[in-house]
Amino acid sequence: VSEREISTADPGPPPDPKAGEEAETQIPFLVFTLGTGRHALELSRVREVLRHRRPARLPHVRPFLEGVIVVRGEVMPVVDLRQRLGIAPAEPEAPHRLVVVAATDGALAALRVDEVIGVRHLPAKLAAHSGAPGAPARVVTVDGVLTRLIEVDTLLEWGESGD
Amino acid sequence: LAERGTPERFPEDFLVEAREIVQGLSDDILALDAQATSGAADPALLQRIFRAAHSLKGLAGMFGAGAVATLAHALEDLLDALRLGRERVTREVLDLLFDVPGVLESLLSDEPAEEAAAEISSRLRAMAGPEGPVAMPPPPYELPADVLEVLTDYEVFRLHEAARQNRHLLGVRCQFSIERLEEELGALRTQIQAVGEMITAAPTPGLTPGSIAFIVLAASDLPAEELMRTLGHPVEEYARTAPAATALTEARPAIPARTGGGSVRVDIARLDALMNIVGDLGLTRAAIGRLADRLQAEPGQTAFGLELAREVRTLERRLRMLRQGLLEARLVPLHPLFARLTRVVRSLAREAKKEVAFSTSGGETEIDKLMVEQLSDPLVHLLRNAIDHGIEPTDERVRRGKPPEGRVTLEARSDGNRVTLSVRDDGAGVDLEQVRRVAKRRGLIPPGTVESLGERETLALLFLPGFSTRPEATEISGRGVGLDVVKTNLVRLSGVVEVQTRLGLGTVFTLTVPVTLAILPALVVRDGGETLALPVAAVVETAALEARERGNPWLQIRGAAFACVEVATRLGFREHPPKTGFFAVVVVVGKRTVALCVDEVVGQQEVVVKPLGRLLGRVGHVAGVAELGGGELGLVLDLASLIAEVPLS
Repeated sequence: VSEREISTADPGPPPDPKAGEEAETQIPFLVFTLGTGRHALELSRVREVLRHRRPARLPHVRPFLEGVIVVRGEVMPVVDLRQRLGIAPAEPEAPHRLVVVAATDGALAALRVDEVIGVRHLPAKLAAHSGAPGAPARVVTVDGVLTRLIEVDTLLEWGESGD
Repeated sequence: LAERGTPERFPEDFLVEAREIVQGLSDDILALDAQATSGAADPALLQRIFRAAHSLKGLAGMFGAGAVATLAHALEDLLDALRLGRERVTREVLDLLFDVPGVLESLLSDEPAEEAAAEISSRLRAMAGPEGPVAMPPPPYELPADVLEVLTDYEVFRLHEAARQNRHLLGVRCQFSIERLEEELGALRTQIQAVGEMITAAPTPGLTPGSIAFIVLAASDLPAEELMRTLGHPVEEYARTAPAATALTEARPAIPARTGGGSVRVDIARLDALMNIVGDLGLTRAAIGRLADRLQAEPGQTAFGLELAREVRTLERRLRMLRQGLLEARLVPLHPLFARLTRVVRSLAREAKKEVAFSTSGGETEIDKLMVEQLSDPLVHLLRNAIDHGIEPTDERVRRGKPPEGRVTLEARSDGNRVTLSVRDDGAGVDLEQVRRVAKRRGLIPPGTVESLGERETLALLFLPGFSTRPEATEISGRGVGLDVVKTNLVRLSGVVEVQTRLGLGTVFTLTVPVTLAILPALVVRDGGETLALPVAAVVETAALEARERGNPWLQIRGAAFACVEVATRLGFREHPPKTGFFAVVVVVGKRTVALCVDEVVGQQEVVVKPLGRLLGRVGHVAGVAELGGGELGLVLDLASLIAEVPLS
């Protein structure tokens, strides 16, 4: 549905909105990798990016829930984003980052990703969720590269935590 | 629902019932005035006004008539003080009471009366004296146990009054036919009131079908023989108990004065934030303590090290006080919850078309605000059960020689770090035989074991998921709906639920929960590579055991045998424990004693328990997570759920 060509101003500041009415409004996204795939999520949802820390394991929960961590007093689940999106899990010791994201209601979660590439400005309309209901990610093309856009609220809805 | 009591928003049946109550109130207050002017106020009349105010409060609460409910509540408080002798019926009191029906009538009609209502409510409250129930000392007479059980606070108070007047307390044994019950009991009341006071009529097990036996308690100046001659019924006299133990004035607890405007409402999240800071300070304290240890070991620095260590201990003591203070700030009385439940009971009873007298006690018991919210659902469940399945229909109660009105009580008791709540009914009780039959038919228990099930094991079946959701459940005269849900909720609160029942006499459900879940003296252990925290309160002992014992389902520890739970295995962290030396932590939860087997016992530590948060919601066997210092996290285990499936013996 949303597969199309988009050109982006690579990192740098957002384009001047007065540059032309035709120019689409652009907003920043955090771009990262999972395996060989490129992924992006709205920067406004990102609270911080952490180095690895060992979560406390939880009993009998979905496999993509690695456990919980506490960041400045806040408890949050660690979600293995590969498993959540159905990508083969990485080696447990493989280098990775934790991207702390917030749901609309402020609930926090740490997403385990492979490598954070940086911030890119993408058209704002991409942020509007138009994927299939319940799909946490959808594919668009950014600079000719297939990129999966993560819909944070959908991603963080997994029903009961137990398996 | 309407905040301001504009009558057009209230349904007609509310208005009709409320006006009826107000009319009765008005008549009774007039009568009280006449009586008090000519002598002493009749306790029965005070009791009636009290009940009317109470009913009006409940009714108004249910329909959201806030101003009416507030005024009725204030009236009830004052009448409570009057009927229990805390306050006297003075001219001033009568004048105030006189104004109440008029204001109530205005509230129920078109006239704006909100301000007058607020004003008179506060005057009523001021006159009622300090809030809070007075703990009633035990009755001053040696009464039979079945009579003792049914006495209300008010009746006990009347017994004290009788003792104060040095009256004889007499039990009149009588039996009336069901058809002529009211008439005959009324006649007896009149006879007794001619020579004293009728305090209560307690039904006793009936002998003859079609009739009801009573013990009527009467306080009189006449001795037993004379009363027996007058009444023509057998009469027994009850002796006084030791007077010192029952003096009402001595037993009255000191009620702390509540000065107006002295309290603030604090968002619980702020308290949580403060508690987090205190938790972090605890970690800092531990770090400084380690520095002090190192200094002491350093040549030439020992004196400094010792001094620092002393300061660290002072810091620790003050931190503990700070933590305790914060903890107390989270505590709220159960009273508002009880008031809400009273309204719920009222509407449930109405739905079920049953007559139910509901009473609560221990509303002053304090508990964590979050806990209060979590307790509401389980309590509603149990109260609904008591009304739907416990209390029999009125005609059946009468046939069984019980008072037509079923009694349901909700009591709270504080027991150090735990609070016990019990929901008691005087209904049909649970038919254990029938429970066993249903369980057998449903295949919940292996065939052939039914007969060996004791009372406790049988009652435990009630809490099995699905036990009650099938149509068969309706065959059980006792309990039905969703007890497994109650249990699940309780387990989540680190609580336990227990039940006691007597066929034909009633059932008591007892919930025991910690006062707070926020802070926990914990035993930190490691198993399967994970760090875990257990509530110290549940730990009885720990024992180091040898490798060859590991994996046994039963362990001998200092001569006693314990069922064993491999913690990491139970949590799904690993398949089997390694064959190495290990520790058994013996814990008691409810009536179960179990040995938890772990790789290592790290030590004891106070931890701030943090809930897992909305995204994770409920995770089995987990009460929360705690920071243990040095970046380490510990999963706080919910022992009740962890050992729930372990065999009893």
